[in-house]
Amino acid sequence: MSLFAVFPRLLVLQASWNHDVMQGVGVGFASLPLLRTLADRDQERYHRAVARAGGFFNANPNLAGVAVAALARAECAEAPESQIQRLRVALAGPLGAIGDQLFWAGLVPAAMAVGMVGVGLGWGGGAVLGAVLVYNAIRVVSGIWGLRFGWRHGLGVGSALAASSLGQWTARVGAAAALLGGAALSFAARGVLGPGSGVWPLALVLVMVGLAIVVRSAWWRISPSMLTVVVVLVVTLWRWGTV
Amino acid sequence: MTDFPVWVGVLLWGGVVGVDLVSGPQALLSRPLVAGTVTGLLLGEPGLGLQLGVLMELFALDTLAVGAAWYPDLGTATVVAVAAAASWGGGPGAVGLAGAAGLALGHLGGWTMQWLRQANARSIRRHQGRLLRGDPVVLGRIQGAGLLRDLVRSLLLVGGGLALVSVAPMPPASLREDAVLRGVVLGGGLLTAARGLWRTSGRAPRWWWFAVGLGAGIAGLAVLA
Repeated sequence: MSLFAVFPRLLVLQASWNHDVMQGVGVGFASLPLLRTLADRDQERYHRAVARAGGFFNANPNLAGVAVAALARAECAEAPESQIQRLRVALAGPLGAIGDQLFWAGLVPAAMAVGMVGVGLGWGGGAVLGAVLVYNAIRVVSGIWGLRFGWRHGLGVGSALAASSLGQWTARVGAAAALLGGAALSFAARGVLGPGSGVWPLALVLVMVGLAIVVRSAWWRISPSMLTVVVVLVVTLWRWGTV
Repeated sequence: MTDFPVWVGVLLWGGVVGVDLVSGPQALLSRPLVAGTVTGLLLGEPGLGLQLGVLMELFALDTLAVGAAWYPDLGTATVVAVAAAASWGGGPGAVGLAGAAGLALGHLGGWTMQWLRQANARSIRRHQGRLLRGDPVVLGRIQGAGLLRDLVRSLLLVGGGLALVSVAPMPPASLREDAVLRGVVLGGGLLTAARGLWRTSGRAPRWWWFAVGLGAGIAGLAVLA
């Protein structure tokens, strides 16, 4: 099945990401195995389909397979070209919003939080490896599901997406990420300072989370990582002077 | 720095980490926790890799690597930070200094991503005619060139960072063992992560889950302490 030939191409969907067509060329490249059946029937339509597939598109790369397969299905069914273009525009927003919530603000921080809790508990690199393996297993399964889903529904993929349980999963994964992220802060402090550091990790977590709550409105405008670099620089110069 | 083959291994791993950030396969290899863990193993300093991996991951929790947004490349920065901390003896101060250097390099890495996007756009404009004619071959070429460009970007970033580490003077022993420096970076990381989690947990139900997790973590830590 050519859907399996598409999946590896989805893994490098953003290899040529740019501000002009964003993921467009990647989507076109991923679509090629699915569009080949069209090439056998109608060369002219095939080239127009390839040109369309490489046009502007942007969504979450983990759910972009839904669009790749649905659009290719519509092309192979020789649907009206204006309708295919409208579907392409209509899919980008929802697949971006759902995918970003599900993966970037959900599964990724959740997996990293599990890894940090594991490090804090002294499980070492095994916890990190486990988190990476589980995340990637979910990603492979969801990627193949997305391709099948898009191919099955073609032009009707929009309403099928709205009726799917993706929204519920997004909420569940988001809650899990928030829960694990909250817990990970304390274990991260223990992981960095070490198991023999007594109450220091606890004190640091309480002070910093308290500070984040108190100064939250002003803090948003400052780059915290750059502020950290500046403070380290000042402390280094001060300590160096006292050597 | 240790043996030359190890150095080359770290450099190549840094290349993989940089490409994983956006180009692919986005398999979490570019997350600082993973990048740091593997770099620590390569250097024979697994504890140091985990320590800096966690430290830098706290900063990455405030980053959403989405679309056209600017974000730092903290994965490649972590690779260099672990190498720096290892070559400076791995004391708590060395971890703090390496973490701060990594954060600065991560910002520089973020700007190289902008350069990469512009170079990709130029490549697409060069092939505009063939793209509009629906030439399937050109799609693969543009993708391949983009991957290669990102690999070069990552190798230059990590290679430059490792070169700086190898020529930088060794910090004095008192600084390398200064736990305050590590504490400052950890404090900054916790503040950043709390901010990031707070932001992504903006809506009521999710915020409560964050609060429950935070409470559970603090309780767990109190028991372990």
